[in-house]
Amino acid sequence: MSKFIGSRLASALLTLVLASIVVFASIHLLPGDPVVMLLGEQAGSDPEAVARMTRELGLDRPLISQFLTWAGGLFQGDLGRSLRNGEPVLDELLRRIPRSLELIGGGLLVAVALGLPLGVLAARDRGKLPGMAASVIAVAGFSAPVFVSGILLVLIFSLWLNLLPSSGFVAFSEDPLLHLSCLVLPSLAIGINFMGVVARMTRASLIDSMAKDYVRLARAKGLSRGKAMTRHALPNALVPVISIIGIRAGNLLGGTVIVEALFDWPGLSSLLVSASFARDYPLMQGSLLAIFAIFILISLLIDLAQGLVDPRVGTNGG
Amino acid sequence: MSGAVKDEAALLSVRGLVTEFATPAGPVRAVDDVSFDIRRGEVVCLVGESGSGKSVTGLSLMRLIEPPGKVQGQVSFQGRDLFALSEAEMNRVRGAQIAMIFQEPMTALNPARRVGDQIAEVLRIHTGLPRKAAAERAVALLERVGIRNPAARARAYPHQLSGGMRQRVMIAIACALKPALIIADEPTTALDVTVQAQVLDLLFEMQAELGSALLFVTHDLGVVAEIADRVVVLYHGKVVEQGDVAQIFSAPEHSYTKALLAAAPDVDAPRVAGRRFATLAAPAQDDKAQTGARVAAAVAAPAPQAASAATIPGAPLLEISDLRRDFVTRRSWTGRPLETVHAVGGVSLTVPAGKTLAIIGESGSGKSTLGRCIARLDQPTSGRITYAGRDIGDLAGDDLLRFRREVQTIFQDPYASLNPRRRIGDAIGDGPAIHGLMPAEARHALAGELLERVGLKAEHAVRYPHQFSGGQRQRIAIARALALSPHFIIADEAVSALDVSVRAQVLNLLADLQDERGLTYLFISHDMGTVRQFADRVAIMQGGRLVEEGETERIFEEPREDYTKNLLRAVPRMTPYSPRRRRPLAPAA
Repeated sequence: MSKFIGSRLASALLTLVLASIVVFASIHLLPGDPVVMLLGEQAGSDPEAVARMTRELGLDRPLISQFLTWAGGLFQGDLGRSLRNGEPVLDELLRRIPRSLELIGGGLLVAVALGLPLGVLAARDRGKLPGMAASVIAVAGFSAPVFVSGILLVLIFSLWLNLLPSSGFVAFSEDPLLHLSCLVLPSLAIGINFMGVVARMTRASLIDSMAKDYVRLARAKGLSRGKAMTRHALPNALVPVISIIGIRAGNLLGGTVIVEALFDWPGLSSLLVSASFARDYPLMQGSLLAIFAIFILISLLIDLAQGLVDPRVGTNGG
Repeated sequence: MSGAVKDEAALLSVRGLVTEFATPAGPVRAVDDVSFDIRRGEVVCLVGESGSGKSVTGLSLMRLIEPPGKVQGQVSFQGRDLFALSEAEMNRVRGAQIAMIFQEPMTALNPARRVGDQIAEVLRIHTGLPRKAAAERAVALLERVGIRNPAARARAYPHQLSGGMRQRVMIAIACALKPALIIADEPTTALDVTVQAQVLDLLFEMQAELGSALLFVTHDLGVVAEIADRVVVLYHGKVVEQGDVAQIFSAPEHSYTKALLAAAPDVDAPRVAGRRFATLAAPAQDDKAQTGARVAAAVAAPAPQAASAATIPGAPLLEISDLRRDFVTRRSWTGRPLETVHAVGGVSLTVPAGKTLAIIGESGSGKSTLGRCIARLDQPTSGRITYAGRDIGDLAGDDLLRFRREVQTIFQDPYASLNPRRRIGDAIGDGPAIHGLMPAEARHALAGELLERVGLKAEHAVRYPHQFSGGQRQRIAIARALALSPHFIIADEAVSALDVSVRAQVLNLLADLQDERGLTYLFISHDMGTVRQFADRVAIMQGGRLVEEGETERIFEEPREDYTKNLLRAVPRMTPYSPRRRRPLAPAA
């Protein structure tokens, strides 16, 4: 097992290194010039100022040398400074990463905590009313795009029921309760679509497992249908569900772009968007890299979870 | 119905059992008015071919038929009406008083749980034994069923055990609570013959030790003769005959039982050249000349090549010299091989034209890999294979195309080798189409002819593979191989999955074709009884090596190697109460 974890960690690190190269290259391939953006109207009238500023920021050097400088900084934990306000990128990222993780974690929690029971119910009571109701909820969940479900959630929970704030962010240290209540709606918005996917997958996989011989053996041992399901069918049914969660969890990161805008949540995505508009290279690189890192972290955790659930993963087999 | 008189001493008494499944085409009766009794400590074999309802009967008794299946009738067990019990009461019967063993030990054990826990579970469900005590009992049970190093094995997952060991674990689970009745559903069918003998011995030993009755569901009459006290013969869901094992074998009354016994391959019967296998529908023999002429016409349609070496009888058609095939199972990160398995480790063989060479071996003996190398579906690591005088490794272009036409393979699993989305008529016509042998219309006609030849109907050509049974699909696969009028057929366990009656039909067909067209067969099998009747020469393989090779009768009458002797001894014999019975077999090397 430790060898399995080691090899997964190594491949995660390698992915991160490759990601940093891609991040750097793609950002510099984008059209647009940060200096022009920074100088605004002055840039059109004063080419001298543009040249001077380009030199000051080191943007006139060859890309390779710029990359090496950046990568060298990376190793020392220095991600450079924002071109706009001169603040260290790392400080900004460290402020934002936990918020984004919170959002993704909340979304995952919604997806798994609601999706799994829904799927189990849909499989157990297939053809009966509760099962069909669960299936309908699941389909409705993954049919609604984030911006639709998000707006509906705001309408219902904050405008009509007046239970939760419609948007905004308060630091946990300032007011923990308000912080969490601000988190509820964005998490639901981001997770509800995924919940539908998890429910459908769980249902299909569980129905499949229930027909397996080992579930029949469990019944022949004297377990009730319900216990045979929870003890024998469900753990095996979860293996493919977990890998789907792993593959799709990355999509939650994409969803955060809309959700952060919709709920005014100051996370990584909104930082990336504003940095991109300003062509603030260091900030863009930093936030993209952070997003990559989160993505890789999620897959790593899912791999490890799979190793825990399925003994055939991570051993040499027969 | 004979033997259906109410027996007060019966442990289990089944009366008028009916199991129906709702299908779109209306209800299908899988079990139709079945009645029988089992006395304490008795071994009753439920015998039948696929679709006879024998497995469904076992599940019905346990009330494990899921809706939309419906079970009716009366089952009394130790004086209690099982069908009147509540679900909770039934759960206390299952596992504790009636235990079950399933056919496929790979799929019947939960892949995600340690085998020790799976044994301990049944103890904990019924006795409330604390976790630690149950775990200790599980280890003791593993030791009892003959698993070495049981404490370590208890911590293993099912995929880390061999098929035989997994079935031993299943027996441990079944015997854990000393049930009064064990229902075993084809428990040894998936196992190699020597492992089968060991598992049967163990099952028998446990049954005798616990005094349990055993309801043994099987299609293998050899196994029946070895273990049964009484036999219940099922056909299309109905009991056609039941009685004492000696009576069933010596004086069967029903014509189906007689036909079944006649069709079962007997490893002790000497080979009679040209003898046809008995089938359930004996008339097939009468119009042999007629069907033979028809298929000869159909198969001859694409005009075989004149005087290829393949048609000179007796000359070596295929020569294999020092063939090796290694598989690298583990590599270092630079790609350097760390572990290598020698699937075939230096085999030399000759197959004469117009004859049948059988390759016998247990799983992992390399027989299928050898077959794949000969068909050039796999690349040998070293060694030479010549077909009709030419090294098949050198074939290219038209020569290779011709080789592909002349050499056909029939695989073991017809479901996996037929494309589920293609009509079988098209599948059969694919070969001639690929080789550009005939126009579409002629292909349709050929498909129809071949389907009739393998015992199906010409109008079946428009159906899809899932609409056929396993045996029918295997016959389709054979029709597809014949469509190219091959000279050499590699049959890789091609009849192993077939019921005896269908197997006989297919073997007769292959024999006819050999007579008519001088076909050469490489017959890969683990079924010794069939091989003795069908093959001219036999090669025994073990662990990738050739143990011995020779004339069929010589191998069966005077085997030289210990491995061959042990293998032959392990085959269940067709004689009830044979001296072998209940005598444990020496463990295989």
